[in-house]
Amino acid sequence: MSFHDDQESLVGDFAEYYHRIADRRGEPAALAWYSLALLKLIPSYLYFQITWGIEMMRSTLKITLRFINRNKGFSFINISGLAVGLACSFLIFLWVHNEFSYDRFHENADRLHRVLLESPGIDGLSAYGPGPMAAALKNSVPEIREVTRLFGSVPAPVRYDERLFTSRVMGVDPAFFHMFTFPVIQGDVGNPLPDPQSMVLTKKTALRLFGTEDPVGKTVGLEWWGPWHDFHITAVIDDIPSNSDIQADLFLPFTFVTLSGMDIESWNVSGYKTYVRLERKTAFATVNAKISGLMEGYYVENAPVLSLYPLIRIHLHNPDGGGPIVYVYVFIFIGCLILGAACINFINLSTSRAVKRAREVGLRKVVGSTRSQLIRQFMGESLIMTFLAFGTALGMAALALPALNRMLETELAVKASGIHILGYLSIVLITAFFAGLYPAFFLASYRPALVLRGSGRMLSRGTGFRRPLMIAQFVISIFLIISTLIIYRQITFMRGRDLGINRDCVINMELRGGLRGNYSSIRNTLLEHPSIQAISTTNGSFTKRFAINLADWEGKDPDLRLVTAIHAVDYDYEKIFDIQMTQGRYFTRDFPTDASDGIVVNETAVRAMGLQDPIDKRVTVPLPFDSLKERRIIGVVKDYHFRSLHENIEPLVLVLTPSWYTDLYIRIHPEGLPRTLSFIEKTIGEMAPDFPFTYTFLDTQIDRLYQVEMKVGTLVKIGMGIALFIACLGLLGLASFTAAQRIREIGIRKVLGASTAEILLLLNRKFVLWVAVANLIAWPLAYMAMKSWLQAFAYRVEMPVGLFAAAGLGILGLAMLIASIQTIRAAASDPAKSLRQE
Amino acid sequence: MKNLTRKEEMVMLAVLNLGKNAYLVAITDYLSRITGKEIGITSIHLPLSRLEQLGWITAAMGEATAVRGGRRKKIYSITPDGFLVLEDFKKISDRIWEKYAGGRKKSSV
Repeated sequence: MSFHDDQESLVGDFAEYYHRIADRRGEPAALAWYSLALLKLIPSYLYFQITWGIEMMRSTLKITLRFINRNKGFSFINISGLAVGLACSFLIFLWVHNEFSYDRFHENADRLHRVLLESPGIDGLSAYGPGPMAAALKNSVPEIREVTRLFGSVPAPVRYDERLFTSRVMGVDPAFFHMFTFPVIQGDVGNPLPDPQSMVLTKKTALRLFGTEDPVGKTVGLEWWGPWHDFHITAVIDDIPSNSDIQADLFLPFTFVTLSGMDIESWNVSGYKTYVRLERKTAFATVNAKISGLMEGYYVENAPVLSLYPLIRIHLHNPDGGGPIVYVYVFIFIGCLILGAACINFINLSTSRAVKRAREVGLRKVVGSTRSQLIRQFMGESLIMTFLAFGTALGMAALALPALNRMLETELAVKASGIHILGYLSIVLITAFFAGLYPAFFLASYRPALVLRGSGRMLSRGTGFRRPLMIAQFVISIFLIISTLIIYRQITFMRGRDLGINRDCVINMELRGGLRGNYSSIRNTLLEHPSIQAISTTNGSFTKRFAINLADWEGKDPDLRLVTAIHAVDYDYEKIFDIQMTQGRYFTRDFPTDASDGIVVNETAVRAMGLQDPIDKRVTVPLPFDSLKERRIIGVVKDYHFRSLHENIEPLVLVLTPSWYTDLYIRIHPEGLPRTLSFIEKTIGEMAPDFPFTYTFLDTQIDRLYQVEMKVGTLVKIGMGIALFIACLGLLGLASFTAAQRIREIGIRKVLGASTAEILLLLNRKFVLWVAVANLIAWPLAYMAMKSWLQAFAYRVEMPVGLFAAAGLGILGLAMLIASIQTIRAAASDPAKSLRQE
Repeated sequence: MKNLTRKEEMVMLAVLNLGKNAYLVAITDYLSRITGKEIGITSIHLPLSRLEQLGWITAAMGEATAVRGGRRKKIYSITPDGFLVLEDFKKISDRIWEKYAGGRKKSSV
């Protein structure tokens, strides 16, 4: 009995009854009954949908399980291929979601903005502005409700109870804790930083410093540019989540910055980030327009143009340097690629099995199944397989998560929150739908007569679709292989490239506390050790950035404005980094005027200044710890990299200004390194007891500049592995199917005298062609993609043809291997057996 | 003992008695007449379907009439299993009713 018959009879019954009532009591009464009766039918309708649905599900489940049981190998391949694809998409989805979630946990998140400055003559926007700007903004613009300045975070030594720690310190205005949501768990919620000596800790820091003791009220020492200052703890806030742009361990009142002599009321010193909170429902554009020219009133000349940048966009788009948004899009793309490949695989393999199921389909059609019933059953089958894959994928993802988190330094977790569940389910349902659609229609449309006759020839109909699907998978794999090779080439290049400095066995320490105060005696003691080759202090490091605006020089073009990088160095800087002078000389004690009068510039600076004969030319150099003074160029140094290879070498000025030193470098002889290190530790421990001893190797520091690339490289590598895995699975299924289909043909050929090798060649010919085509498609795609990725680097590698060829041949070899495994089995079979089957 | 409600049992009995005319509207009329209560087709429809699902009754499509807008009737009939179920119920009822077949006697104590 079909559903349509049931429907027909019921509607007929209703019609009969309706007319009866109409005859007896009139049309209106009949209509009234009709409406009421319809409503009464709803519960029984629902009941039936459910019970019938359950029945359908149970029968489909039975059939599917029976199928899986009978075809264990195939089902395993199919489901695990899809599971891997799903697992990858889950993980990528988690990561992407995490990236988009940065800074959204603040209550006021959509009203918080960072103030950016654009200074005339200087390219790009800066987040750093002068101290008084915040108050000026608040007073001039009514739509700006609250402002705060932010300094840091900067690591600094902290002392409690004779124990030394290094913590990240941040200076904030009182409004900070109202604007940003960092819940206060201990102390005064309303006013966490009441006085200039107060300090707020995070829960983690409190645990680190105080263990189980109550931190509130305790006194802690902080070393800041030399001397130690006492602060008392007034509040503890909850740990800051990893998806926050603002990261620190300790918070101090903004005014603490003045402890180092920095002037926070000056309009000429920019070193602080400013954030504002706008009135609800304020038009962003209005405020932006209002503040844009505000600085004109405060600057004599060269006033910067202000603009707002929403807090929630900062992480991804990073206005003063590329944020990861590009990578996020790349990974969404890769995720879709991998999922697509997995689905293609699933479709491929499902249709491949059609020949075995053709008989089943034919039989069922004869017995009376309608096309729609068959389609429903096959879709149900694909749904069940997909859910099995889904379950497996969740397990895989959960297992892979700890390792992934470690590698990416994130805290991704499988949460049962709304958006997560929505995300997962939609991925699964979309996959099930598309993956089931083609096989379902394909299988359900068989003609019973043709099928029962046992002809395997009709399957050539399906080949039309299978070819591009398989080729697409190859294209994806080849693309990813080439990309991986090039990315790693670039990374190795950057890490290995000669930077123009000698970076072996150099360690770096921050110049703080006693290390700073006691420097000369420490230095002399250390130099007595035979393995210590050179020591230098400077503010030039790969992680810090200082720049000045060269005011004037001999022969300067009046319209030219030049910003150069600046390093404050000592006499030993040259020795530590092994820099080469091309003209003139480096600073030396033999010429006492070098200290007050001399500067060294690099070749790029000479070119930028347009100087033909730079030696002895006078240059006016503005320094923060020294007034604007005229100095002479005493030497030109060969260009060397002091930033990452993302950037071109900038013009550089070297000057001897001891008060500006921030870092200490020591070059150590490689032999007996550990012993030398412990000697250094001991010496410094004795002579600068308030310096928390810690150091980094210069190599490590430089490597860290490429952290993003390394992470990307690893992830693309993993993606490549997965795409290959999926493509191989697909090929395996396809090859086995082809071999099974042509088993008769193989038997005949063997009887006629063909060798196994000849048969192999014949069968695999198709796959060779497909791989070749895939290569042709993948190569230009990969080339274009990598070309645009490499644009981000000022120094990049080339993409040799050999690399592409290697990838192509590699895939070809792999494909041949897999295809051959299947065909060998078929080719080696006994022709008598296979021919007897007919 | 099979899980059958009184209503379902009544429906089955109606089907048994109506023979070739056992379709929804006729069954409903029959039951209304027998019980003396006004029963509507919506309250019979569900039990009827459930009985079909259980396999106690089976259906075949019958004639179409003009008053039904040319739609065919669905004629039900008792299956052998269904008949056994009815018999079972009757046997149990008979056993219980043995003592009181002639009416209720006043007990002596």
